[in-house]
Amino acid sequence: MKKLDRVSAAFWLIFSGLVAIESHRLGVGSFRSPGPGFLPFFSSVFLGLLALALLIDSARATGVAAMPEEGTPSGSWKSPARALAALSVYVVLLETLGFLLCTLGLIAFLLRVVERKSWPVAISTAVLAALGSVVVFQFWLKIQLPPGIVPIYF
Amino acid sequence: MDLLSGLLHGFSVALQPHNLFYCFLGVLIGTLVGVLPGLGPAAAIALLLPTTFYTGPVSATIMLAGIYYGAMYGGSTTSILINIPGEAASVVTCLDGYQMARQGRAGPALGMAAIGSFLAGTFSVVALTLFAPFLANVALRFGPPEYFALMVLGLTILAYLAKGSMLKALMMAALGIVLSCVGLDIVSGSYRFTYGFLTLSDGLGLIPVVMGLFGLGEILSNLEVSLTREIFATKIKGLLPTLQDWKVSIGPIVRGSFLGFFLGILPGGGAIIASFASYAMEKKLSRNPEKFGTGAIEGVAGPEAANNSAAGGGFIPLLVLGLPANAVMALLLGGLMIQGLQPGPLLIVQAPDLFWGVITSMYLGNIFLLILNLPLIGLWVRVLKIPYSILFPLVILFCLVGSYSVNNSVGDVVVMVIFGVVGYLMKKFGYEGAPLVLALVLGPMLEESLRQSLILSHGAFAVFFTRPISAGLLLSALILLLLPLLLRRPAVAVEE
Repeated sequence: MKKLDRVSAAFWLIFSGLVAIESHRLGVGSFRSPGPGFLPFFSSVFLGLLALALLIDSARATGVAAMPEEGTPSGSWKSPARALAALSVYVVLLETLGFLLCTLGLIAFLLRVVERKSWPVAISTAVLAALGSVVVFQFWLKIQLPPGIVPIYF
Repeated sequence: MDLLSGLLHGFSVALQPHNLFYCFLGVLIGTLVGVLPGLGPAAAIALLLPTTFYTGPVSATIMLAGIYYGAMYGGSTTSILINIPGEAASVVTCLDGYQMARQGRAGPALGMAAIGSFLAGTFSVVALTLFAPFLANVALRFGPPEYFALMVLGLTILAYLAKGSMLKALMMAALGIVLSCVGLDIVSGSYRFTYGFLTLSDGLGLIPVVMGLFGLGEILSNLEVSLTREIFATKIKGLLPTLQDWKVSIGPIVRGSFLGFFLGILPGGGAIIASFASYAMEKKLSRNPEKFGTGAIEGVAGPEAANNSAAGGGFIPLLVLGLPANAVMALLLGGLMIQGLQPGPLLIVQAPDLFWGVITSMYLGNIFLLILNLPLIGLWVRVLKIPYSILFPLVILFCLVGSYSVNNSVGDVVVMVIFGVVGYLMKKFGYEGAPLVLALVLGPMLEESLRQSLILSHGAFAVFFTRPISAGLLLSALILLLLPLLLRRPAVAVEE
């Protein structure tokens, strides 16, 4: 956990530095007349100081046992990665292909590839979920979903 | 409007058929969310926030409030039957509740959790009814420095009570404030951190961020390990606790109710803290502390009463001060602001329908929950059998549609996915999402209070320390920040 703390602290230190620079560019103003960059500047400086404290703390500790509630146990990262890849494709194609087709594909992919369900289960669940969500969200809740190449008439 | 006429007005609003329906729907969804592991009340409320566009503010708030305290009831079912908490405030119930189930006493455990929750929930609503108008009068004395100081204290308390590192929780609070600055600055008219993206011109939407952090992030984390659950295979009989059970539990229920209510009021407190504090208190007060963890019914009664009471108490800072006490209240605040309402000391005057309607609906909601939880336990057990592999794609779908529906924009879906990754990484690296969300919601109010205070005082920071209420609040925050340093024991070096 201490190694992870060092990595994250370094990340937040760099992040806070970049935000502070950008906030300064926006204009910090003065205490009498705070500018648009006032709060983000001081918040990012505070974040940077805390990140520095975490970095020092993790570098100093000589292997204190990690608290079980900090960080989740690691399993296989492949399933989350596959799900994220599917979601990325979904977002890119959503307005082109439309909600119905994209949702069908996404659910089928998640069940077949990520959860390793059989094809009949994956396809039938995907069809039910896609059509059911159109009924609930478009027809009942009146949410305008992107039609794409399969217009949904109501 | 005095207390009695306020209550009567509230009941006239809450007993309208459509509000009764939304109250019932809210507690039903809340119980379901509480029963199903992996989906907490924050994610459920975020998923349903877009529906508030179509209902009125009173009905919407009644439903969303029902989801929150309903989830407290539902969470105990999975804790007792499968040793997996349905939501975080029921973690402690696993310790003794599951042991009771293993001893063939699942029925009394479930029954005591439901009845104790009902009694505590009712107590907290009565207390809310009595306290809220009084506190609204006190809050009228609050100016910008007091609001700023209270928000700082709230964020500090949340960080102090974080279950992980306080340092990391404070970092998330600071990050939340930075993120709250994204978008148009209404004072100067300049865009901050938008980089030409239209989606960001109105700031980071609360709904996509919360759905990403608590919905998608949770799912991505759960996908790493296969979630298997063995439901305790026993016929659940005899839901009513025995006289002996009542004898040992009534004290914990009463103490849990008071403790939970006052912890719920504190910004940064809440149901999770209340349940842990109640368990610790009962163990300390018990004549047989060694029984805790082996099936002591007091270990179920006290924490369950505390978390439900805290749920009611949490409404006080929201309705009276316009300050959310925790992440779930932050979402409710977002929901009210979407409806064009500004919670605060004037809400009781400007929107009595909402104020009294929500409070009185909670009386009815507690009755619905008792009806739902006791006889329908068999149904909830069947719901638990739905495989997670079928459930999680549906939750992802809700997150996608919910994010899209905010502005009919794919940009919000992108924000949701990005924060899903952020939420996933936060879990891996041991950071909590609640301080970030609370800071994201409080950020604009914090900035406004800060700017107003500095303008009023001509740039003098001393204004925060010369006004007694503000000074007291900031001093409390400082003490909390320094407390871990002062109480720190030398770390024991252990091989990693």
